[in-house]
Amino acid sequence: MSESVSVGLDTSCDITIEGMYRHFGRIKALRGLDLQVRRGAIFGLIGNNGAGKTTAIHCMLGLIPPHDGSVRILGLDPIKRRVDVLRQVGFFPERDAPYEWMRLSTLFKVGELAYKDWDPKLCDDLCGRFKIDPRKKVKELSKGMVAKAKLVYAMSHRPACMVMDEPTSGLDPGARYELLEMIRVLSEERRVTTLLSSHNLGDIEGIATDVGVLHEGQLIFDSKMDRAQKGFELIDVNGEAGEALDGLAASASVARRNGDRAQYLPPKDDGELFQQALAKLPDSAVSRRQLSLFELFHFLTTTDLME
Amino acid sequence: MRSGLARFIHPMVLIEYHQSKRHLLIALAVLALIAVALRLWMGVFGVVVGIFIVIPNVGVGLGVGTFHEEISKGQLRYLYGMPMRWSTVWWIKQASAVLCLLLVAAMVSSIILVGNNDWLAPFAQAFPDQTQASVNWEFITGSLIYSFLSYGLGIFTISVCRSAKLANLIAAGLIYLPLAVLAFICLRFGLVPDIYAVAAMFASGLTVLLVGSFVLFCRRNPLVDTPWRQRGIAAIFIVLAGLFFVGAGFAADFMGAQFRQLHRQANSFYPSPDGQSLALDISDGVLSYGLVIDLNGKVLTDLGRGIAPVRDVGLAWRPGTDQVLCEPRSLWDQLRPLGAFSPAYERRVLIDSVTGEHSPVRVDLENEFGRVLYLSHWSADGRSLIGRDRVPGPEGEGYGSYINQAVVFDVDQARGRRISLRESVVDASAEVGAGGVVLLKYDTYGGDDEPWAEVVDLDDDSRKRVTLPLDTETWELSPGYNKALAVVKVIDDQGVGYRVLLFGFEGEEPMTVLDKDQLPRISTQEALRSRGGYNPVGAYFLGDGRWLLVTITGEDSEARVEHLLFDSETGERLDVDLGFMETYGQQPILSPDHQTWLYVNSFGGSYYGYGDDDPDEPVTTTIVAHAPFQSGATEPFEQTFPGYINGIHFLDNDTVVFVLMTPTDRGVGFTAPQKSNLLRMDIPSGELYRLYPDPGSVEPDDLEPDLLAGVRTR
Repeated sequence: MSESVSVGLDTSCDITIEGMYRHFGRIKALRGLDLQVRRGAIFGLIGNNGAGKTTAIHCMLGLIPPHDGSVRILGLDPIKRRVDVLRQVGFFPERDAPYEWMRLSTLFKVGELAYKDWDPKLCDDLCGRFKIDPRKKVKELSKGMVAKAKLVYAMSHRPACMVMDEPTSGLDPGARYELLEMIRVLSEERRVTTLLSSHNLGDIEGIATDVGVLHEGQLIFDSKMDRAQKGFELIDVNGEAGEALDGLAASASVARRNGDRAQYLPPKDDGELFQQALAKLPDSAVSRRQLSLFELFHFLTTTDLME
Repeated sequence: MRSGLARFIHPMVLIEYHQSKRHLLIALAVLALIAVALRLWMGVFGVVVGIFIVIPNVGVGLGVGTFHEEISKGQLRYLYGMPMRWSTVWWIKQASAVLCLLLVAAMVSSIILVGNNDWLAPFAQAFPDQTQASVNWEFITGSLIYSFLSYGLGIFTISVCRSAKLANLIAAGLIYLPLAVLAFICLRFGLVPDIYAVAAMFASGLTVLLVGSFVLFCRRNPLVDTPWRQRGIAAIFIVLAGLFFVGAGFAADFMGAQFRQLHRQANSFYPSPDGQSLALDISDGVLSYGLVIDLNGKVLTDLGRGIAPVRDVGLAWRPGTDQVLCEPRSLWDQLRPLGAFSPAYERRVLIDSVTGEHSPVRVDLENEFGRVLYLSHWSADGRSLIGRDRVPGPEGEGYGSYINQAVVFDVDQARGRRISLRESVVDASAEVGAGGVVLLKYDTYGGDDEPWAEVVDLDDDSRKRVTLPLDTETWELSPGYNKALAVVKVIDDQGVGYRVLLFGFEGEEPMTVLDKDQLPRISTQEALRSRGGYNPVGAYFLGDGRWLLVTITGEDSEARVEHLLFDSETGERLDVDLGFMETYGQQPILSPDHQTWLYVNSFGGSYYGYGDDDPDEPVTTTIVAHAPFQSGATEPFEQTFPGYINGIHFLDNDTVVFVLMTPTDRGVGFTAPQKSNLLRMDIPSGELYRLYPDPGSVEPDDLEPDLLAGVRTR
């Protein structure tokens, strides 16, 4: 049962994933992931720990081969052309850092050798904006400075697409703000398609233009950020409503069971069938509530699926 | 955009450069300090042993260390996210490691070699006691090869392990397994490990391990990081490496646990006088060494690296002793241009085959530039080495580029003196006299004096002038080529005398024998004329001095070298076809009782690379034995074998031992690999016995005739 919600995505996408599966032994990390990131968007991919965010990113970059499904990034198949994809994408890994003995100047020189479109002036400019001293070694930097250096490294070859795996992980609030703000500014200045994963809604809300919720290997919700921030109306129905609930479940975008109650998110177009089914219910059985993004995420990731 | 140079440099090269330089200088400095300390303390020997004894650990450490940081600190994930091919990372890492290894080797070698003009000398001198066969050149070379195998194992294990420590532990344990096997067999059977077999084994194992490492690394995804899941593939490669390791030894035909079959790989061998020991000359064209073994293949004495029994026939064993005359055969000696300064004879040495004791052979000769010494015989009592030396003469002088001079010197105290002679021919008989005699013929060089000769009796050091009855003109003809002189000591009822053979230069000139009273006894002019034109090459009195062997190069004959046999008392040429030799290598030999005469002819092939021989034609050798001095002697005995024969030797009057060199499929010749079969043959029954490794009767056709295919010149 597909229960994802797509709200107003463009069709011209730099990242397209369809039906992707990936498991590690008995652990099913991705279970039919469908994801699209439109060109120029900053897509915030949120999910709990273990939701499959990192696996999805590694698969879309060709770093881990999926067991099923297809993926296209900038029109390339990363499974077959991993090196080409990595050359055109700015990748910000979550955990992986350069050699700690390496000076940043050396790191950037490596980048110059690795990326044919490396722009030393842009690199210098970014270092200046981040107040990064290239003479310092990686091990001499704070976590925040390392993250900034990784961002400079990922941006300096003028990528058309950025993939950032939890860039704010482990950063203090100040560093987190600076980094996110820089990501937003750079993405907007350079009109770079950006996919940003995080399990921190605050990070996403601040800069993302689109948002998607990954839960148990599936994208269960995606929308434009401004739409999501306006809030979604949650229809909460007493379970005693009986057969009338069937009509709601069939037409709702999300149907969840929460104890003895049934909860629905209306379809994106407030569909006629849904309204008709809702009208058949007695008012006493129905309650309506406006959800914040946080509540929406909580609703999507904690309630049980309706059979 | 990228600068010009940046387009040609792989980013991994820059990473590797910065990563390597962090530790390399320190490592080099530490190793240099250790090497210098060892050399100051223990000499070159200490450096060699100290460095190479730990080579397996060094190799393993280097192999594991190739990816140590990347694996222990997660940098593989960082590298994997970079836009570069995963296999390229592996190749650059290997190149970097090999470069580091070479730098270390160069540094250690430079410390070894500083102050050593002869770069092989340290290795030869490092092991003064050569009785332990395992401690020799192979040990050092094998250690170097072993280090590469260790490196391969290290890089292999780090490719399948998540932890560098675990990889180190596993590799360090496994790397001693083949060493233990080799050491066990070496000690158990007392054999010398063959460097080529060991090299082939290690190289095969190394190749499989490197391929396995490459496969494992390329299959490894550091983001998933479960290398242990590839243990099945790793096990396959380990098994393959083991199979290749053993298989390479067998494929190289080094059977018996891949150890040298000494009798099958010696280039030459020289039986001891009692026939129970063999002095082997084992050379591969670059490095030479000598061994003394018994007939069971057990090494009695390791004569040393870069040293081997002298190649001249009949010189290897000093008569009446257990000593083997050896000469330096280091790479430098072999590369030294002929006639260059400081000839090798200065360092000839007698090595006792029982005790291994070295006794230098002192030669009291001026160290003139270009001097070359040719040894020809031991005196019968083993007291003297006899030969002649050659020193380049002034340009345009004399009859050629050289002036030949005769030298007689004692083993213990050289007593030769420079005398203006051009030839000497020495009695080779052990039966007459103890020390033999030397004939010195003096040249007149167109002067007024009559040509004359002098006989030097080594028994009493007496000298006797011999008047040459021939006219002057005859003796002034090209003296450099007139070698046909012979002398023999004759003892009869009237006392001691010397029978002398004088030879004219060309076929028109007579061959004259002077009896011990210096009276012309015979003239063989007519006998020789029947052979057409000829040039004398050599002449020897045999046995009690009656039989005279004359070797000529026949101008009208098909043979290059032809042997004729004369009765020196009657001048009669015995009607015995001694055949001819396609090669110059071997002289006919006589049985101890002087009744059986044996010579060896080789046909086909192109052993020396000259002549019109067909290099593709298989080489065959025929042993022909006559008994011309026995009444009622019938047809000569003949036996034909595939390949060449080296070092044929009478064990007794009816038995000869020899080495049959059967060519391998890689050709035959001085530098081509050969298989030597140590054989014994009874005459005249022709029964053939293999002495080693499977003693027993054997037929000539069973001596690996299939290996004759593909014979070619060197």
